Formats: sequence, C-alpha cells, structure tokens
Amino acid sequence: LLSAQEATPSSFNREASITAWGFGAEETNPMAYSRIEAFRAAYPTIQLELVPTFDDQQLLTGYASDQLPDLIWIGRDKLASWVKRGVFSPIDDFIASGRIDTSQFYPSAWEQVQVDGKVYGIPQFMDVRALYVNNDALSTAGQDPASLDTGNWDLLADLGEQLVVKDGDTYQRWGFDHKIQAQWLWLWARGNGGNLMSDDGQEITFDEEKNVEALQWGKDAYDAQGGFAAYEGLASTWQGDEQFARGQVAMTMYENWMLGIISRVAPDLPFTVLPIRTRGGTDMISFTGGLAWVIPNGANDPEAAWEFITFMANPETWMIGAEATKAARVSEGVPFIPSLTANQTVDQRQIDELYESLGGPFDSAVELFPELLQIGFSLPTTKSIAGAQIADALQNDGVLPALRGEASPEDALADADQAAEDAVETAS
Amino acid sequence: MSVFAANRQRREESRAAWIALSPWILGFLVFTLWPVGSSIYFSFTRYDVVSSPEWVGLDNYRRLFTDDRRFAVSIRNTVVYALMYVPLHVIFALAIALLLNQARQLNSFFRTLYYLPSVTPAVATAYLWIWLLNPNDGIVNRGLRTLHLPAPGWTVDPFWTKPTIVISQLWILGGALIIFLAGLKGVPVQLYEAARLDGANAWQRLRDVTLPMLSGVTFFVVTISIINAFQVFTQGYVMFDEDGGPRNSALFVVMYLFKRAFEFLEMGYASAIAWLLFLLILVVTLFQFRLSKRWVFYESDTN
Repeated sequence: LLSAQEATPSSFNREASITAWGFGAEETNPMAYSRIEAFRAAYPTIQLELVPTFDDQQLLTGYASDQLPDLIWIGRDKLASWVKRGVFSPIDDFIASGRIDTSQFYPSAWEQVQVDGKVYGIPQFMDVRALYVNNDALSTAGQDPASLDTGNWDLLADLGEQLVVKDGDTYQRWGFDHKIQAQWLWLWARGNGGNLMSDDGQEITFDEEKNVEALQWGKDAYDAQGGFAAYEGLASTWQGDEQFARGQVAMTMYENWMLGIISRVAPDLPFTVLPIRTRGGTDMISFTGGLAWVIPNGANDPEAAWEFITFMANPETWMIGAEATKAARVSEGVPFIPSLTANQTVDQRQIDELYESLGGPFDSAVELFPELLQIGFSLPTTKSIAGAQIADALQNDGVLPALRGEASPEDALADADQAAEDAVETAS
Repeated sequence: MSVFAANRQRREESRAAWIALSPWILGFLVFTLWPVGSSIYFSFTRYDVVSSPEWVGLDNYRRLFTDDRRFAVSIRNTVVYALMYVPLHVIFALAIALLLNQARQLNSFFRTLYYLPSVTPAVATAYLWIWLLNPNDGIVNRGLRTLHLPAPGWTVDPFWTKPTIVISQLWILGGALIIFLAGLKGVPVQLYEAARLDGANAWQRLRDVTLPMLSGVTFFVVTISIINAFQVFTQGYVMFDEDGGPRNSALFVVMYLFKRAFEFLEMGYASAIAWLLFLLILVVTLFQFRLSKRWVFYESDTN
C-alpha cells in the first residue's frame, strides 16, 4: 500500500478544522473509509468532521441561517441550480494552482461542474448506462448476444416481445426494459437523432419529431410485451435492483453498477453488456452522472477545504481506496469490480493494476464502461435553474401519459413542452 | 382573609400560571403563529428561501386556478379520498366500538389489539399493505385468483389506487375507536332499561338510544377525520411515489405542496397551496357545523 504522505505532498501545516456534509466514511465502505483515514494521516493539523446525511432542505436552511459547512458532497445534476442561486463559490483560482490535472476528467463530468464558464466543483465517481442481456434467454429467441445489433431498435423491441414469460395472468419475466419510464428518454431521443433540450439547457424541444418517434418506439415496445400497467405490476415486486441477476428481466438498460450486483447475487449468470447504438447507426450512446465536491459560499476555511479536495482527487489517493476495496472484496469472497472515479487515468490504472480477470462478460463490461464514459453526455436539465421542474414535466406530462396510453406521444410531449416552458419562465 | 390578601393571592396564582404556560405560549408564538402568519405573506410572493421574496400579488393564486392542471387533480383526488374514507372510517370504528363494548372478557386485550396499528409507524404499515395488495403476486390477489375472482390492479390501476389507500387506512382506527368507546360508556344505563321495558329490541335500542346519545361524539370523530383525510400525505407518498403513482391518481394536495416547496423550492407557490387547502377545510368544517344542528343532540339542550 502507498503511504498517505506519498500521495499528496503539501506545504499546508497550520491548524484548521473543516466540516463536510453528505459524505459518509463508515468502515463498511472501504473506498471512502481508507481515503479519509489517509487524509487524516497526511494532514494531522486539519480536524475533519464528516456529516454523512445531507439533503436539499438541509442546504436550504443552512444557507438561510448562514451556517453552511466548508465542503459539500453533492450530485452533479443539482450543482448548477444551486450555483445559480448563489450558494456555491467558483474555484477557478484554486484550479489555477495546477494541483489537480483537470485533463484527466471525462469530458461530460468536467463539463457538468462548470456553470457560465466558471468551475464550481471537482467531479468524483461516475455512472453510465448500457444494455444488459441474459444470454440464455436470448438464445431461446435464436439470437447470439455477441452479434446483437443494438442499433437495430426494432429488433430490440421484437426480442422483448419474445422473451416475456407469463404464467396465466402473472408475469414472471419481462422481456426488454428500456427505462424510458425512468427518465431515460433522454438517451433514446438522442439516439434517434432528436434532442429534448438544447445542450446549454436554454431551449426546450420536447415536441421535436425525432423525440416523438423515440417515445412511440418505447410505447410500442411495452405494448407488445403486455403494456405498461403489466410492467408496473411486475416491476413493483422487484427488490434491491436484483431483477436482472434473478432472471426477472431478460434484457434491461441499467447503470454500470449493476455489474457489482450480478457479481454478488449471480456470479455465474451468462450475460453480456452491450452499448446502445444510434438507431440504424453504429455510434455508441449513453449518458452519465455522478457526484462532486463543492465549496459553499461563506465557508469558514476554503483553503483547508481545497487541501481536502486536492487530496481526494489525487490519483494516488484513489488507488489507496481501490486497493482497500479490493482487499475488502477478497476477504468477503466477492470479486473486485473497479469503481468509475470520473478520472480516466485512475479508471485505467485500476484495470491495469488491480482488476483480476473474471472471465468473459465481466471483463468486457469493465473494458466497455470507460469507453462509454468518453462518449457519454450529461443531462442538459442540469444546466437549468428549473432542471427539476423540466425533468418533472417531461416525466409526468409527457412520458408517463404516453406510456399509459392516455395521450399520443405527440400530444403528450407537446403538453410537457408547454409545462416545462412555463416552469422555466416562472423560475427565472 | 381580607379582600386585599385575596386579590394578591389571585394575582400570584395567575402569575404562576403564566410562568408555567410560558414555554408553550412562546413555542406557539414562535413556531406556529409566526410561520403561519408569514406564509400568508409568502403566498403573494415568489420565494426560493435563498433569495429574498419578490412580491407577485395574486399571481400564485391565479396560476393555481387557471394554469395548474396537477393542482386541480390533487384537489379532486383529496376530495374523492375523503368521501370514501370518512364514512367508512366512522362506521368501522363505531361498529368495532359497539362490539368491544359488548365484550365480557379480554376487553382490554382486544382494545390494545385494535389500537396497535395506530401506534405502528405509518411507513411500516404502508409497506405492509403494498405487499399484501401487490397486483402480480400479493397475497390478496393470489387468494382472489384461487377463488376465480377478478384480481384488481390495486397499486397500478388508477381506478384502484385510492380504494387501496382507504383499505390500508381503515385498519388504523384506534383513535376514533377509543373515543367511541368512551362515548358508549357515558350512555346512561337507565335509558337502555327504560327502552327495554318499552319493548325495544336491540336494533331499536341502537337506533333510538345509542346513536342519538353518541351524536356529539360522532360529530367530533367525523370532523377530525375529515380534517385528517384532507391532510393525507404519508400513504400516497410511501405506497406510490411523490407524484402519486399511476396517472397521479394518489397525488394529494399536501404531497403536491411538498413537491413544490421542497423539491422545486417554490415556497411562495406552496404557501398559496397551503392557504387554499386551509380555506377548503374551513369551508367543509363550517358546513359540518351547520349541518350538525340537524342531527347532533346534546344532553344540555334538553331543557
């Protein structure tokens, strides 16, 4: 193991005390625990207090009563809306010191922590989306998973219909879960050549024809499998995100972290992780999310907070965390799957230095995710102060009514477009 | 004792009372009256807590009445829910109270048993019912299918979501039950004896003695359960989701208020919703009082 001092040489040696909200470092979480221990060892003069619980209301009341901490660990999707309310400070001056190599961040993560040309956070961790396919199920439909063309969306829908398993009226397995009901129309719309919003988050374009087409495809795919109500009935029996590992869905869109669940619940499951490709094309498509460290306005000791962020963002610190994670997994008898850190260099080093081959599906997925992170986009709602309202309008006035057949995809998206524009207008 | 001494003692007593009451009064002023009062002002502003409130006049109310489809949905859902829940709740609580009042043995055991759901955390009971009523493989639908009866989509069919919540709530009737029981104990035995001497059977005794004697208690229970029904939140939020499940069919006013306030940070708008809900409850309650003159009987009125 690397020593902590080796990880970040620093000239910071005055007494300081800082508080961070939202970050927990329990011993059961070796990635967090080991890095925090390393920090405490490297900076004996900095008293670090971690307050793991955190939510919007806490931030709101903290800001209103002028009691914000020195650091906040927050979802990158929420960052811009708080920046626009003046709650976080830009960190460009700190960045200029050059202690963090920002070129190592994946493009979409780095872009997500910038608002109006200023940097407000340092990205950590990343999630990305792909298609998980149950090989046994797929072979019953006469399809070889390795050669499945994920740019052929009609084929995906067809397979979904074939792979549903029912016993009388009771659904036992869903065929294809495209997650459009879970706000993933962003991916399918873009893959269909559309876009729900301009990239800068300024213009709402829900009702574009290509978006309508994508939603129609999603609705048809569910109707062929028995309809959205049937899906909801079955999905409400799924627990702990284990539906794919337990064979309750044959093909599903999911985040990268499902790999960890499979390795724990069903390590011998024959499966394949495939990138979704643009409709009728070959370009991979996915969207990303993750977290970030930010320094709120009115922090008592921004310099000490920046020391902490620098330490946490250092590749050597990440490797301390990754090694501790691997050691913990080995002792639990569970395979080690590298975390996606939002830092390209670290992700690659974990694969090169720590990952031990688990065989076919795991290996190719572990290789695939960094590639997807390179091309992934972040949701443009995160650029708008009314991001939550826009996402809500798309979901409740557009996607869900269309999937349930209450309105045509065209009318539903037009309604949602109007609702989202109203929301933007009242919020700005 | 002289008049002066008596006055002084009264003054001292009242001072002691004020001192003893002051924590409550202070708490009431600071944590209830002040926020409630402020929310009137906020309801005429645009306010995200972070920036200072900006006066918009009646705009929030105008939007609620004209633009906001989901607010209308939440009002309708809440009223429909109250119409289903209140009568059933009162009837069930009364029926069980009548049974318990008859019980000769294990009286306190049954009373505890029926009260238990009222002290069980609402989230836990909501989850329990979500499992029992799961349309795909919940125990209720499995039973119905075995009997070759139709198995409703309790939690996924917008038609059934409100009945689902009502069913889960009917289980929780401890409060009303105890009040009814207390009321039943207060009915003078002589009235029953007199009725019996006049040849009244059990049904007639219930209709002509028990129910009129309980009318004051019933009025109280009805009023409180209407207010509770209008403020329903947890079940919709936990059994479905923040948007009230399929077609927003379990989206209640308080859930919508919560979303606007704490998810979208539209405190002004949410304050307007709160005041409209208050007015709605006030109107319904006043109507109740009006109506009560026709059916509520107080012993003190008899003279």
